[in-house]
Amino acid sequence: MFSVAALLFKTVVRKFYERNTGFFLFIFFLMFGIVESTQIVNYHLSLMYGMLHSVIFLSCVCAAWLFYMMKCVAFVSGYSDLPENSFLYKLNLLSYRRRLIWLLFIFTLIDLPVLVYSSLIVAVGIKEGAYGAVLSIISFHVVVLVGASLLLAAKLNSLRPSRLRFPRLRFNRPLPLPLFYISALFHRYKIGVLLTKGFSFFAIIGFLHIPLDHYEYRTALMGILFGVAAHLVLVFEFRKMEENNLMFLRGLPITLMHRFLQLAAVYALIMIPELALLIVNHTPLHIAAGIYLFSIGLLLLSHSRLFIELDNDKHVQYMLGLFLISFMLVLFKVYLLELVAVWALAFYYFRTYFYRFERMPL
Amino acid sequence: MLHFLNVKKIYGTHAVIDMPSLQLASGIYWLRGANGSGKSTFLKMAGGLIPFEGEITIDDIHLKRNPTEYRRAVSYVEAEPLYPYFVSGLDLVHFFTYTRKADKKSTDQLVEAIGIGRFYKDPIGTYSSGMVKKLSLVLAFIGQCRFIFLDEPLVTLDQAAVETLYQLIGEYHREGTGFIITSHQLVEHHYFNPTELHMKDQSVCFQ
Repeated sequence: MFSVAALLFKTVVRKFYERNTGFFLFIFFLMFGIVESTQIVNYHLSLMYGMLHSVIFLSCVCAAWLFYMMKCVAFVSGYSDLPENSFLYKLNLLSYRRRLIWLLFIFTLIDLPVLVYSSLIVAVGIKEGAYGAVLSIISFHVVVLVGASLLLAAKLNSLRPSRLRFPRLRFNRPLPLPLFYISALFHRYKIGVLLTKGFSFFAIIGFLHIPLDHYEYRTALMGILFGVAAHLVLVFEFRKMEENNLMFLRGLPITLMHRFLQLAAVYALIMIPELALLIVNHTPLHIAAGIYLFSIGLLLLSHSRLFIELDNDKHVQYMLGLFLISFMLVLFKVYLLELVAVWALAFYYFRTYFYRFERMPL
Repeated sequence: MLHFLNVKKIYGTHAVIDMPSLQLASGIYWLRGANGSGKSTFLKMAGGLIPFEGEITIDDIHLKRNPTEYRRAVSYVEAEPLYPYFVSGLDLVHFFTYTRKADKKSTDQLVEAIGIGRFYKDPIGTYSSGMVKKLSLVLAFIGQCRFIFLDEPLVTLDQAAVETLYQLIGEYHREGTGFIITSHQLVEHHYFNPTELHMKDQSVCFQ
């Protein structure tokens, strides 16, 4: 029994945390990094009181937890489809009850950060006598964890692919190339897009609301840097899609400049919500436009660099380094220089490596 | 005329293609060779999909110096084509027609001839492998190509579709388009009589 637990932990749970290290670091930063150290306890207590005494606030938080669990289910479901993880289907040899218990074990460990924070809310709730909210939180987690386990048990027991799908969006007119990518977002990466945009918005709003005596454009720039970082997963998925499903594009008579501009259009479309968010939050138009171009340039650079090597680990390291440098350049108010540099470097990588790249045959 | 000069393709330390010179006039060629002999790699290089050492030209249009014009002059279709499942065949047909500067009327004729009109407005994810293959063949024939490279075009096609494909190859060839076809099945028909090419010692040679 211990060996089964160890195997599931090593293969599924650890893999989930490894894949989402950046995401957890980001959440950790949002929870503990944007508040003064002396105010952290009061800040979290205020959040907890808010959840315990406001049904709307608690509903929003539960919706965020639900999205997180959907991400977990999508991960485990997709992970079990990989050929090397077909052993997970051996769980079907166990009785239904036992299978559910193991799946519950997996989801509990994956959901642990949420459960730990929820335990603190429950403890505060009991002390405050907010028993209704406490009961709601506990019931929510029980339902979500059992529901996730039931969904996955049904999936493992079925030869059909996962049915965890949102309704399909259909376009009646032929799609231009940039919309192939945007369409992929709505069909393949729905949860990924929701999470990415959610974190991107959180980051931008968080930075924009740092209390200052005067307007400071660098706060918006720092927010967008985190927002762009949240999009790196999508960039990598786009590159994989190009290699797996868009190989035919390489054989078409399209100039490299045209291809590059089409890619820029893809990221320009993707970053429109962030641009709108900046404008809504009273960022002057010329500054918002500069920040928008900066974010597109960074995403283009990230994408183009993956033509050198389609390796996510190395890519993340490179981009992390780039973000540290960007952070410094933003602090020292030389981001306009960097804006030009990232666009130039992105085009250089794209032009040099687009036709040189080839995924090694198996 | 398709011309290969000192073309090499190396994976790691293993040379898959090492070909000092080859010239192919516009004709219909049946490229034969064992599994893993490099047929698909050869076609992908000629189609401008993968990098290689050396020079490939078509009627003096150099693949490396004039990549866009070269790609307009050739077309390649994979043995097992993969397209995004969420776009429709119609999306791809329009896209290819636009990028290859083809006229809509001849594209419509192709769609009708190969018989994809019934389903090509649906998302590709709903197609069978034979339907995807038919779509890929329509895409291969779009535009005014001087050479078309077909990698295992007969796989998954029904007999009627094979007959149509042969007719199209015959018609296009009469209008001056060359073909290189790889297939483990016999490529022979009363519409044309292909010249056999063989993969031998990392090179393509006549029998």
